[in-house]
Amino acid sequence: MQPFGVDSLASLFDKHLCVCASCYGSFNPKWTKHKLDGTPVLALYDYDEFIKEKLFLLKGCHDYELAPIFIDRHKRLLRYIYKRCTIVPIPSWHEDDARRGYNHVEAIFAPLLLPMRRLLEKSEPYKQSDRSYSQRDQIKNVMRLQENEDISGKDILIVDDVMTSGSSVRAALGLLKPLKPRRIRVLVIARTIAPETSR
Amino acid sequence: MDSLFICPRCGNRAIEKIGYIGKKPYCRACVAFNGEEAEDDFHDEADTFLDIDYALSKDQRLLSERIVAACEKGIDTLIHAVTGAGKTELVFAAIQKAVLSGKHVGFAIPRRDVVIELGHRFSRAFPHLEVTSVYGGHHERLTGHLVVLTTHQIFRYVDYFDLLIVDEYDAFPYHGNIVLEALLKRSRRGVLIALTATPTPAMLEQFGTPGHQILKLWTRYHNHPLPVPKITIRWSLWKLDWLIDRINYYRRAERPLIVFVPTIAIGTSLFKIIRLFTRDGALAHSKIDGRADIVDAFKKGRYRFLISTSILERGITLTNLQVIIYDAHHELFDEGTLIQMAGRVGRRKSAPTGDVRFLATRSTKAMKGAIAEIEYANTHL
Repeated sequence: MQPFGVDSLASLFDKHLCVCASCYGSFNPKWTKHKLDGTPVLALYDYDEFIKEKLFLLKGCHDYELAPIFIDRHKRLLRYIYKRCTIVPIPSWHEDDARRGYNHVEAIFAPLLLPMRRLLEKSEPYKQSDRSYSQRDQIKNVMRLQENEDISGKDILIVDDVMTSGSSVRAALGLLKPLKPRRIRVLVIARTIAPETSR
Repeated sequence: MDSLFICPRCGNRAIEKIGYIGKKPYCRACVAFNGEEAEDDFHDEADTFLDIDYALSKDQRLLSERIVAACEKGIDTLIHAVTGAGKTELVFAAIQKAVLSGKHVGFAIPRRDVVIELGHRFSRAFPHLEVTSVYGGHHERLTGHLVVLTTHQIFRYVDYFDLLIVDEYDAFPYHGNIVLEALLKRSRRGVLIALTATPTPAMLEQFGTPGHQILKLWTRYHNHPLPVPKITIRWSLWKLDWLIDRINYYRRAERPLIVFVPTIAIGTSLFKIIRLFTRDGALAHSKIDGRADIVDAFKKGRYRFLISTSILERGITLTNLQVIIYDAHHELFDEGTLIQMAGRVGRRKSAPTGDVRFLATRSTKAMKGAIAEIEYANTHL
């Protein structure tokens, strides 16, 4: 499934797009797919300068209005692909969220209009971007299940903004798989080109 | 359309630049400028003397005294000094005076590598002062007797500076950036001194009103005339031929050379061709990783010539540097840019002369204007 055809014609027909025509061209959707421990991962974009800048404005500068732009043109297609899924966002440290006034991952994927469950949380302030590649596995010790909701037999969609080494997602998979969901899939906005791609 | 919400920081009230988190409005124009702000708690008696190991020229000394006088009277001043005049040295006396009377002094520059360099220079010149450098990724300490900062960090200061000196006032971040101008206005409560070599008409108008003044310095500190550019008209392949010839000539004469190009695309394609003929050059533009290393290597003499976009237009000083401006007729090169590029030449006392060439397919108004401006400055010698 490529972002070409009906979906890319949206800029002509969809009056409800929140991105103007000139910014529309700056987005460069790639839709790269790969498998992480047997779980299908879909990344909408490469982590290029444009995406990096906009994500920084959203996360670091608290520009909340930028939240829906990332999945704006894909939302119908994504809603179809992930219908009947329950979204589980990768958590951030709750004090960061309080300072921002919102959780950026939840804000990005809110336009999908799928049910969202905050099953995961972080037990201490911990930033993946501060760590080196070898240290990133430590996130296993930081992430934990927040509430024991019954998700057995459900479709789960794990979402995150940027995936670099895949450690966060792997940690989330490790926590969610014992709860016996029917199927787990992963959707991220951008994937950096990692030194060794995890297959 | 105006909104009811007015940004308390930058004064923005355009409705398309107002966003909402839930129902709480926020300003999207200055959203990139958030972070820790400086507290007005630095009160430390300063006892300093000026320790510089070179004498000011006569013109510099006269102007320096007038700047001190302007600071005392509280007149906002634009200093229009030719390239390589030693603008920074002019304000040393004013800084010293202000610090001695316990005022907050700030020195804002667009580029961060210049901030680092200038911070060291101020520390050496004022041995007893606390000089704080503030730039992106380095803002643990915000207060000090003298704060050297990049323009973007100005948002950290509210009603703070009694004397704010802004170098390269016409350069990129201010030029028509309403947000930065508002933040600049917010940060100071005292005198503004703007330094530039190429003032825009808007700046001349701004500082021409009563309560402001414009001071001019027409001579370089070593009292040699500015190198006047020469126009060379060549077409297509002959242009290239002339350029290669010239590069080889300067290589034999052992003089470093910068070839300025208008765009990255032109620079890249030119570099591909030039590399077939000579190998000891490099390309520098804003999209290249590690361009600071390339420029450093060039300064140390590892490369004989450098093809560069306008990133090196300001702030590079190198002994015996020569400049060729390739495609000088390009519309991106306005008068100010051409004067700045020509001003890279002959900045050292040991080598006060040099060549500046405009290599173009036709001569334009900007090229002639730049030459006229430089010749006019030279008449004041």
